[in-house]
Amino acid sequence: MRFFRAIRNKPWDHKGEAASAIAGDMMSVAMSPQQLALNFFLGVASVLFALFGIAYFMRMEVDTSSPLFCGAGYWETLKEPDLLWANTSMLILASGVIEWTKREASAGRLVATRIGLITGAFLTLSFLYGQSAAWSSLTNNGYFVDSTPASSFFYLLTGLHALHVIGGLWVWLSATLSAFLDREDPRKIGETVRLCAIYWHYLLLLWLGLFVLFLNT
Amino acid sequence: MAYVPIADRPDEMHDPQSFITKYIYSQDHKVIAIQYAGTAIAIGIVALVLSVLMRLQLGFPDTFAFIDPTDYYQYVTMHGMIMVVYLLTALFLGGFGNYLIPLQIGARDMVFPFLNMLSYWFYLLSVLILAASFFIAGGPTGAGWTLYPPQAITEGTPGAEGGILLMLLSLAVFVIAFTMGGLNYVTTVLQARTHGMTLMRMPLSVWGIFVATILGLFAFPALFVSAIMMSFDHLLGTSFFMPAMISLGETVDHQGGSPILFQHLFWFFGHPEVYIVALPAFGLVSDVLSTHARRNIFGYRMMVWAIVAIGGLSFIVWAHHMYVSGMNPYFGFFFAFTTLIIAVPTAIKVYNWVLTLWKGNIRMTVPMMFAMGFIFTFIHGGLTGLFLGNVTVDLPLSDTYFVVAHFHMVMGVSPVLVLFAAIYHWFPKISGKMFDAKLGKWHFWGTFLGTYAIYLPMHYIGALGVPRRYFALGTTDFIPESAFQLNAAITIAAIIVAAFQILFFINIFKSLWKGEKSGQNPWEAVSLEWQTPDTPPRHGNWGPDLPIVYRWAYEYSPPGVKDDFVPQSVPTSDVVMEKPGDVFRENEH
Repeated sequence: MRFFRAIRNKPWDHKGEAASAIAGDMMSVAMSPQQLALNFFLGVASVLFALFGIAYFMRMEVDTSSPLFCGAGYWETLKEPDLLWANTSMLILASGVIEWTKREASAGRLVATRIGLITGAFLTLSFLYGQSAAWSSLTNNGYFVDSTPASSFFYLLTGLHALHVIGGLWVWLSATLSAFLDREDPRKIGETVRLCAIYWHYLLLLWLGLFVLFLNT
Repeated sequence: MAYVPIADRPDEMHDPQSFITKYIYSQDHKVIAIQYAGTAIAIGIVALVLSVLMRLQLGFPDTFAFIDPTDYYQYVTMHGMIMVVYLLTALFLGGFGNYLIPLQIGARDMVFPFLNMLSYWFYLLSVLILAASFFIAGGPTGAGWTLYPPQAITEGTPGAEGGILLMLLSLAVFVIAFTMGGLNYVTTVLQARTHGMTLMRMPLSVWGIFVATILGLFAFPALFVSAIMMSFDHLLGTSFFMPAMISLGETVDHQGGSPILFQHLFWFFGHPEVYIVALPAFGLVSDVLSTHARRNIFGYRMMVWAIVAIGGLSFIVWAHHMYVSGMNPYFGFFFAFTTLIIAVPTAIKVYNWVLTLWKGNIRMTVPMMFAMGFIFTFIHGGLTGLFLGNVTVDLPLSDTYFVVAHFHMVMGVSPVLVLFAAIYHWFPKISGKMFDAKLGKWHFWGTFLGTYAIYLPMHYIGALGVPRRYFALGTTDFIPESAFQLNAAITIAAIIVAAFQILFFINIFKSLWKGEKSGQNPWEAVSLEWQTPDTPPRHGNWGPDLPIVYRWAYEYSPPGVKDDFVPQSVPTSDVVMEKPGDVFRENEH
């Protein structure tokens, strides 16, 4: 909303003034560029998954009673493996640990930060391993990516979510290396961990949304 | 940590030393801009040649044995996709966005230079993947630039095996490249402006690029989604978009998919894409017109609001590309309504450009001629959009040459004229050399008159009902002989216009080689990029101190001032008046 206030400003007022803070206009957003870029990126990822979500519902609604479809390709509910509940718990735990690590890192407690970084990575990797095990369980039951529309979406969306998690782990790894090799100022590590925490919470919310969608369709 | 604005932070600029870090793996926004522009223009030339080949077939059917229907569809598809995505989007945002954003807002570079470099290399990769499809068995896809399933991945369509996959992969890589660049542009505009550069003192070029980037960030995911889902359908046998059908006498393995779903996703990207190209063009042309008319831009605030409004509205008009897809008529009503609403802010912009010229001290320079040419082509292209935006008028005109003429005028020729205006306008700053004005004027008249010779008759052919996408028209009752003659004339005009583009390249290379030195500010412009201590600007742009901004970017011809312009970075106390003792008074807007 600040943006919309700012663009009501008249450029011909404040003639000749170089003041940084011309009342009502926006000089800069008071957050780090990394945080701002992350916010935009989360926006992009949200649009991406929202579009997949819309496609999911539209594909469910395809009118297969139409003679064009000859009754083929109807939506068949997929029975997801129970393992997903365990995976979800792993991701919730990972999110919690990363939140704790963020606080330890910002307080400059290096040992606790290191423990948090390792535990967080372990829990997240467990989540990814669990997801791959869920895939195996589905294929063992005969549900492949091209078996039903629901299974196609399941593999596609869980895969894409996992790719986002792996992208986050990449940044997480660099923070972990910094913490163990004393490469960086602990406060700078704290900033990276803070951004990672936002990203992990976001991924958790995204997963919960997907999980609810899978369970109910 | 307390937040410190970027303009207040100590500089951490390290000049690149080696040739490789300076010119190849460069993180300098200006070098990256030139890399983007060079790559975009190179692949754009390929698309231009394809269009000439296409025209040869249309103008003189049964004459060129080396063009068969498969080739023709591949030319059409690759021409469209390259021009829209790999040339226009990349050149406006990757090229001009990279060059102008830091310079016009008074920053030393983009906020994330490494990411910026990565963005270019991903873009280059996407172009190479696309170009590779010319060299594989079966050739590139010939599905039309919209890549509609089921035919895009069904046997019988050119490139349905490998070509379409390379196209989808290339698009996915392009979206990743754009996202990296786009995050940089928006963050830089919001965070790295220098002292005094409030949002409402930014040049309209930056506004156009900024809003277009936000559109791109939120629209390209739709293309990404559709590219992934179609790749799944093709490679893994899923049925997201593919219905059950019989192809070449055999039942395909797919069932139940929805081609209309693809169309919705594609156009949810495709329509904002029009404005991803148009908004930067609007911004750049505003700056060129104002500078060469020696007039402040008319209605600056309205210009900014119009850019923001067009950006917002562009997300709720997509289905006007789908009136004939069999969707619910009430949908058509809604989308026709929003489509016509978008004409309001667009018309405001056109009026404001014309009013900027009114009583201006117009300098008929080459960039000014291209900018004024844009006003003509954009009005003509925009007016035919009113026809096509109405469902009932669109139905008979759909898929005819009227549509081809419309979108080429409004988003082909118009942005290209702006690109030329912008290249001629900023060339002296980018290279430090002046171009040959005489050659530039020949280039303008050949291009401007030539495009009318191409597209005016095309409207007529379209109104007759001549369908687009046909390899050959054959003999039908409703297409008179004159349509064939017009088609031949259009082809001759197209060849002449294509040949005129050679003048542009001669001019660029000749000027780079032995052009006159341009000096710091040859157009006597007021925005920050013209006030850099070095021309071309060095790494870090500004020397030891960042500029400070005292006013907006359009202070031309204020009363009583010795020169007819006051740069943004000149303090009020330093403005030289015609009569000593007079007080500087800024324009009343």
